[in-house]
Amino acid sequence: MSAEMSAGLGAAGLTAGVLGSVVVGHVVALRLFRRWASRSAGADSALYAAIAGVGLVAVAVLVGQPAREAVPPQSRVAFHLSAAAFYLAGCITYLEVRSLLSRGYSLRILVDLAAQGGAARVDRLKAGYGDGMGIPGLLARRVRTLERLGLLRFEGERVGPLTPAGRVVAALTVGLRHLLRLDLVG
Amino acid sequence: MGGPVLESVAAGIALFVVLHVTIWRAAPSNAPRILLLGLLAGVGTLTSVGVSVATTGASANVWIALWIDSFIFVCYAFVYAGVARSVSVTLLGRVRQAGARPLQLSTLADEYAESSRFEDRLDLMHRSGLVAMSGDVVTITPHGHRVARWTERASRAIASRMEG
Repeated sequence: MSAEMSAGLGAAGLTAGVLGSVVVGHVVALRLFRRWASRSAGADSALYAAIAGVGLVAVAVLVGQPAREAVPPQSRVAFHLSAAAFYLAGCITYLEVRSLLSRGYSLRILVDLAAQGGAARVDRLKAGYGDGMGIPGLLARRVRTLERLGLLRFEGERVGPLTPAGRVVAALTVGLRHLLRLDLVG
Repeated sequence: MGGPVLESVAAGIALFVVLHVTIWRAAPSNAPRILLLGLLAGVGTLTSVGVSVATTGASANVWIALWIDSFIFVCYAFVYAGVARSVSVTLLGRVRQAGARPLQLSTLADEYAESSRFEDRLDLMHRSGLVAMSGDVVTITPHGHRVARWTERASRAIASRMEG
């Protein structure tokens, strides 16, 4: 294996190590500051952003060593940037897994079904979705999140209209659904 | 960043986009097909790496192409998961249809409950072997039980709350 390939392998290993530390660090921090972090989604996000930011600095520093040893000077900046992109890809994957476990619709149905003894009528399962919040509770939760993200207005019972950012996001996602012919989803 | 690296990344991404859009349009499905998407991303990544090796040899550029591809595909998977399955995206589309006129939350809930989206989920879970359907009764399978238990354990392990 060439020295450059070895440097890449070393950098990938270091990046994966930092990523693992960030995940463990985040979980430990969530347990330590559970009350503060659960106060709002913003607090949880700020905590993760801070820990992931420290990890990004660590990647930049640690990847410097193999890069200096084996990567030609003209490729070092690209090597650093792409290692950072690789690390960020891991951070996003971790977020995706958390999001799936927290808000996965199908997984929640499965857990509800198991909690109801393993069998239930469809209408009862639908009405009792998410520990009894049902479809209205599910939608209210999602609408509040969309409002917090600044994508639509939500006052009392009234939902909408979309904000300018919401119009852009809606146009892109609905357009992509049409392009990929994903007609009955979500 | 050198031109050859960008070219190899562009080649892999272009192949992925062409295959993804062509297959999804030619054979539409309500299933998210995440495994197939992952396979196509793998084909795209291998293409990038192959082009990089062919144009620059086994050098650091191969790693650069691989890492940039990983980042782009993971970002796309994040977007795709929302497009293919997100209730929030469905809501955004519905509010967009209404234009400047606000909708009542109860109206949205009624529309959603009357649609077949919940049943569509159950059908997908049935096809995945997670549940069995008999008339309007849903029964969890042993595989579904394992997934439910794993979900609860994983949620606890990463200090996440199952909100639904």
